[in-house]
Amino acid sequence: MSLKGLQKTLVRAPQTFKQRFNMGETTKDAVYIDAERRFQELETETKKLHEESSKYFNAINGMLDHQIEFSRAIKEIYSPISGRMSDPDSFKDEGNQAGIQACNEYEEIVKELKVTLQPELGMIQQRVIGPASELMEIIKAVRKTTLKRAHKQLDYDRHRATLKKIQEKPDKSLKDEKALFKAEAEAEQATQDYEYFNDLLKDELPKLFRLEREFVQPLFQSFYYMQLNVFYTLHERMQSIDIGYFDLSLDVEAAFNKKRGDIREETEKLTILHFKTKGSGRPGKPGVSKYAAESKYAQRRKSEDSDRMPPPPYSAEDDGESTVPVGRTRSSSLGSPFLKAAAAKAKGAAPPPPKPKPSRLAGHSVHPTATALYDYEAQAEGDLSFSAGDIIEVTVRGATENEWWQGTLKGKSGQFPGNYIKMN
Amino acid sequence: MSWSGFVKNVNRKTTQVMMKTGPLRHVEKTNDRDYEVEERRYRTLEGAATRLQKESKGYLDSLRAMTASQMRIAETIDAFYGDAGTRDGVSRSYKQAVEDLDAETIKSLDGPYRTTVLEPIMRFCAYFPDINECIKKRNNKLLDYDSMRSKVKKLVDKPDKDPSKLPRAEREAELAKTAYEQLNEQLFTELPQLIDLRVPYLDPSFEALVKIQLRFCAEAYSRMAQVQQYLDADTRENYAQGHLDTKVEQVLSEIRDLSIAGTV
Repeated sequence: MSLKGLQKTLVRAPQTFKQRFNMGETTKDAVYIDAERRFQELETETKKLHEESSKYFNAINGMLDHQIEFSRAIKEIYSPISGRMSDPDSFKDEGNQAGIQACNEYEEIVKELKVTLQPELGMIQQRVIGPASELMEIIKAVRKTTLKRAHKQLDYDRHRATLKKIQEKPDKSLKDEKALFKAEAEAEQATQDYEYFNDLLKDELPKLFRLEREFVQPLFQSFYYMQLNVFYTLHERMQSIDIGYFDLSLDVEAAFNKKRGDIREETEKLTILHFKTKGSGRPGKPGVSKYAAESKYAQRRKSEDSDRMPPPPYSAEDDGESTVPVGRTRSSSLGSPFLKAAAAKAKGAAPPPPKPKPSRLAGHSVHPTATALYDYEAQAEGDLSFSAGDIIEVTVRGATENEWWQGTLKGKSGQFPGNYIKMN
Repeated sequence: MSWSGFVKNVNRKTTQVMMKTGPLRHVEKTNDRDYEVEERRYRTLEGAATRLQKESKGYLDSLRAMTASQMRIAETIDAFYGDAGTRDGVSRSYKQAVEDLDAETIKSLDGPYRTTVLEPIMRFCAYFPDINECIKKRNNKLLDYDSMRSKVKKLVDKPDKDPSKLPRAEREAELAKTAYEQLNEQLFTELPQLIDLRVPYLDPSFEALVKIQLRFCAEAYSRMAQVQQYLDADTRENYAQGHLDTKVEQVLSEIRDLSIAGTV
């Protein structure tokens, strides 16, 4: 702030104070107040228009960029993966050649699309965002004028108050007469200033509103057509996508499910994917302090289960046990994947999910049932939720109760931790 | 960290230092080249899948950002028109179109996008922490094994007074070896399986993404095109000829000419 500005602020301070606390007289011009309110609206709307149009511009660009990047990433997935990048012989053709081809085609289309859209988007930038920011500048200038008017009004009120005070003095001295004269002149000046700005704003704000509407209409129409063009180009290009790799006749989800098959289930059979969750103890395993009252129950359940349970895989491999007796005790403390791995090692194959013992099933045409001991909430897709007391049909029993079991409940099937239930 | 975990950690750190220092390399390091190749392949997969996850999320976010700004623009324009009274109904119909686009098109595509693109990819990426944990454990076990072996070697070279020390160390080495080999074998057989499964696992999502894009573009266009009927027939012509821009410029300069706009 300049020195002059500072001085003015100081001189006006008492009146500002009075105005704020509604002391003394404050001029109110209803017409102006309404115009000012409308101006404020206009100001925020202009700001919004400006911000959003640039956001829009960025979003469209971002969308296309992500499309391209997605295609690049999936191409990386499709490409054969070698552990020795520098050795060309190590590339086995296990990737997805057709997929890579499709990726390239797709990327080409999207890139072309981006190039085609660039002038269109540039036009939004130039013809919508540009004018909108210019308008913003003007609005800022107008805002300054309204501020000036507010100052002049303050001066006007201030000088009038001074004048009034002197006039109301019962007997005036010579000094008072002088002051009166000066005050009159100042009040006159302030009145003129104030009225000039007040009238100017009252006169021109409505004009501004009208012009703004005139301004917005063609702007909006341009924007609309640009948008329409963008969508048209997008539509046209994407429609003409002709990549034999994609089966476009089917619905999104149907095609997905068809193509997907049971690959997820197959993948999730890999034990390394459950290393943490299944491995050395899940947090909140029942039977620990938290369920002190139930721990006895859990204990009993354990002993019962060990009678009924099919023998765990490692003891089935008698030789495996005898050769690595210490290893077994160690690994059992480390968690079940080791057991599975031990079994797998002995058999030399990936561990098949332990099958229920045939003798257990003999006589049961249906699956055995189990009662839930605790509430269990699904923690991943494919988990089975239940609450304590539910009767679950066990379809696949884990090797031990620390494994994930499979079962059905109320028509839903899924996995759940074996130690959360008790076999009936 | 628990006490035993801490002790293990310190021991392993010592082994690592012993492997690196000394001209004689106090502790011999086991190298399993085949396994290392598989681990590198897995790292490549991890990187690619993580990127895929990022991009699939980014796409959805920018799609949403786009419709959200469209909505706010529509609101603003409607507010401008609002003062003049919606005579031609353009702003209303535009607002309606944009709102429909947001409410119906995006919402109806949101579900399929989640189930066919976002969730499968996220789930695939969620496997990595477990695998990484497994790899870490394997490396730790390998360190244990190496350190145990070197201890045995030392005892063989320089027999201790206590004769029971050697067999005990041998047993411990055996034990460490088993633990290590179990994990190594598991990773070695399953990592390639996972890598082989990546294409069938993630491929359907790509097709789904392309289809969702197609559907979005088609619907967005048809919704937007409907607004056109509310505009005068010559508006399009005016737009194409650049008259609209001239008009914008003209009004803008008129506004600029207002004395309140200049710093008086």
